[in-house]
Amino acid sequence: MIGIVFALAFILAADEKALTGVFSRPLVACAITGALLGNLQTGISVGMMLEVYALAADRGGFSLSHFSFVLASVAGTALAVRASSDYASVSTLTAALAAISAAVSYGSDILCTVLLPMARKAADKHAAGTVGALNLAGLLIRCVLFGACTAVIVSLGTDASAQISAITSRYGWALSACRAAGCLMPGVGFAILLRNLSVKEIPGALFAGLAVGIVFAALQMNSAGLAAAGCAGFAMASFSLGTKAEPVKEIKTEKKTVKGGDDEWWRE
Amino acid sequence: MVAGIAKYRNTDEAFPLDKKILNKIAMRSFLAAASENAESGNSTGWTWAIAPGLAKIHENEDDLALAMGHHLEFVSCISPLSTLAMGIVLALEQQKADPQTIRGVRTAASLAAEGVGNALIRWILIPMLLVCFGTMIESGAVAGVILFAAVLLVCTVALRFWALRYGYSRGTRAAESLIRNRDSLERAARIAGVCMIGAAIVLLGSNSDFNVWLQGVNVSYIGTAIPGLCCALVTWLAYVLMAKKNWPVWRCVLLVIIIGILMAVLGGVTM
Repeated sequence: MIGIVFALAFILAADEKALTGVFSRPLVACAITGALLGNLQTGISVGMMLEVYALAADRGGFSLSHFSFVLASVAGTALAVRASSDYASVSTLTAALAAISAAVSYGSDILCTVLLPMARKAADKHAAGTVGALNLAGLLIRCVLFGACTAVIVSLGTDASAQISAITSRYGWALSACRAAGCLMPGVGFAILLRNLSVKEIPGALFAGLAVGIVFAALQMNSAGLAAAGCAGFAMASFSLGTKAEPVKEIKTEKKTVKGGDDEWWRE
Repeated sequence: MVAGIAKYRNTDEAFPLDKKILNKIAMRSFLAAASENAESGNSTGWTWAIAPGLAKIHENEDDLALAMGHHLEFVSCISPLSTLAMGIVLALEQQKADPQTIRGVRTAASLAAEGVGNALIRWILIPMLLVCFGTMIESGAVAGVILFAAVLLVCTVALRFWALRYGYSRGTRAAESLIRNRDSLERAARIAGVCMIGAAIVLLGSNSDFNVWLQGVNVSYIGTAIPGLCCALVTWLAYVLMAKKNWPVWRCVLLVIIIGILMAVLGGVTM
């Protein structure tokens, strides 16, 4: 059973980020898990409950976060099948499993950041094949992490609920650190973009975007916020196109520690 | 040569991409979000997916390296609709628009496509399918689950191929008319890109389960935006350190990890 659970979580974690994203939906993932473990009906029951939970979570602004349901779907169904219990027993575990999922997801993102300098070096040599291989390596890291965590949780058996509570209370700080660092890390990527887009010349656009973001984040409508910011951005761009253009200033950053000039300012 | 604010050496318009290459890019887009990293989102997969188009457009090797390099900056392409942004970006690449213009349009288009794609699939399509097949699924019929998966699969796959072609054809038409005034286009694209970054910093940084110290404020509406504002502060700090103090990227990444651990240890973030 543990082998099947590992393989399923591995494949579904791959489907969630790459491929179609359909088989990793809670309803489908739980049905597949249930069918493979010999109890399709339990799988469908657990899947329906998790699907509704996932939709409710999406409405709450999770849709842009790392709220993965692969671990909860596979581990939840496997535990329900093993204990021959109904989906109600799994519902108590859902929140804890989703929290562990998020931490694993952020953890894999942080690990994959290590691959980025290698991808940049490959891009410098226009080696698209190497960039593709690094892309797959990142997927492999994620899938192995999800497979292993799901297998460990299912191996806990009937004590899973108590054991998970013990783990989250004992190592909660490590899971929280993964989530905090993973959540804040895109800030570095945004900083690179802001620098390269010469934000100093157009601070108004940044503040307009921040304002739109704050309003929609407060309303917990993250997806709608991105769409609205897109509209606002393109509207401002369209207005700017209608006005007389000023010559773009050359940005000169004084180099103190990095060799190579403007083109290589970011190099490690 | 990779990043920074360099320009393309060969600025002659390239031949349009044919159907074969567009289909190859659409097929590769399934793996575009495969490797998500904390710093630049799905940039590795995005660059690999559009690489056949870039190779066809940029015959000059230095230009190809520059193009692949700047596409490794932050981009998000989890939604199937992200191929729309790929099409628009490839249209600009074909016109040999300035990398600054492409950078701005890419950021704005990819993040907007992400928002619209999420809303389309998760808020409209999936609830609709659950309503249609809900009775079958609740009665335990496997056919309900199969139909749910099949319709969702067909819709998302079709959306990827359609959005890439639509984005490329519309982007080419728009770029042909706008590219004559390169300075205006560059400024407009940068405005759209920077506005989108401003929103994305707050929206991608905010998670309802990510509690910060200001627990008292968290009950109010603005409290839900506080995690996003934390991300905005980190972005500003990284920007200052990189642009003013010449910090390399790895040092900023390390600093953010330390900040994350400190927040967790001091109780700022809870499970």
